[in-house]
Amino acid sequence: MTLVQVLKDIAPILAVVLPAIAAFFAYRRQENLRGEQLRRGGEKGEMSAFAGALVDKGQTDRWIAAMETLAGALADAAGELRVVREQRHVAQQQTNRLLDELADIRRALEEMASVKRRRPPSP
Amino acid sequence: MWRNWLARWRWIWFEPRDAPLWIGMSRLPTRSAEILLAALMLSIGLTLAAPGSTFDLPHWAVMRQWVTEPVLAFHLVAFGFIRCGAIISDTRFRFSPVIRVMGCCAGAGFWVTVFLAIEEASELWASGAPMLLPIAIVCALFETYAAMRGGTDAANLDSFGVRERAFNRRHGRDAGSGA
Repeated sequence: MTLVQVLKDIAPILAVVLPAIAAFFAYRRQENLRGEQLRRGGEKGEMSAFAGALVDKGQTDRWIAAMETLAGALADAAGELRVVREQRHVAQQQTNRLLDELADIRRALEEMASVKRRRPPSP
Repeated sequence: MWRNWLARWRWIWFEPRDAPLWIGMSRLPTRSAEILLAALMLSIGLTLAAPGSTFDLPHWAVMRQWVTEPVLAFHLVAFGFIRCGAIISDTRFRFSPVIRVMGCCAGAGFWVTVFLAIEEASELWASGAPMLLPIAIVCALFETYAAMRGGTDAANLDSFGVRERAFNRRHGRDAGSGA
């Protein structure tokens, strides 16, 4: 049996196996390429690199969950700041009220002084 | 051109697997070779399944010894249908690229078998080299090319769920819980 005959005998099997091997290498190359793109995008801080990488439903669901977590954290921080703002508002109102009272007292004292100045001393 | 950009950005907002049919159809020309080969496989199978004995022709003298006509016709039609279904369902079904690759492997095997059968049919060579010979080998090469394209699509769609499992492991989630 010559080499050519052996090659002819195994050719159909080779023809079935070779595309599978080629597909495997294409798969691996694409995975590497994708990882490289994501890594570069991450280094540059491009959100679109990650958004563009969402190709399956599970990934998209996880992305949405992460975004919701982030939005929840932001809402919590905003709530804390709102409390601080309320506290500062209350303190400011108290300060205003005290200032008003002080002004009233000052006005009263000035009035008393002016009345005292206008009225002659009693004999 | 603007339509290309629109389509590209749509992918970010729309789930490719849930994409409408016309989006899938607009992506079909990028896999022309595979579509052509799948249609060819289906049509050859239907031709063999048609009444009459195609294998009585001198081209198929050797093929006749290896496989009977109805058996080959059944397999070609079955594989052709499955391949066409996987191509049409495109990104809607995660595992479809793997099915496409399997179809490509079967197609390459078929075309190389055709090549060998034609090459062995010595009475054909009396009047020069048969034209089916280059056609078969070119088809086998393009089947390999289409299989590579299928492998790329399998990586893009995460057909085996490798990335999803890695993500779940990293974040301590149960497999297949989605979010």
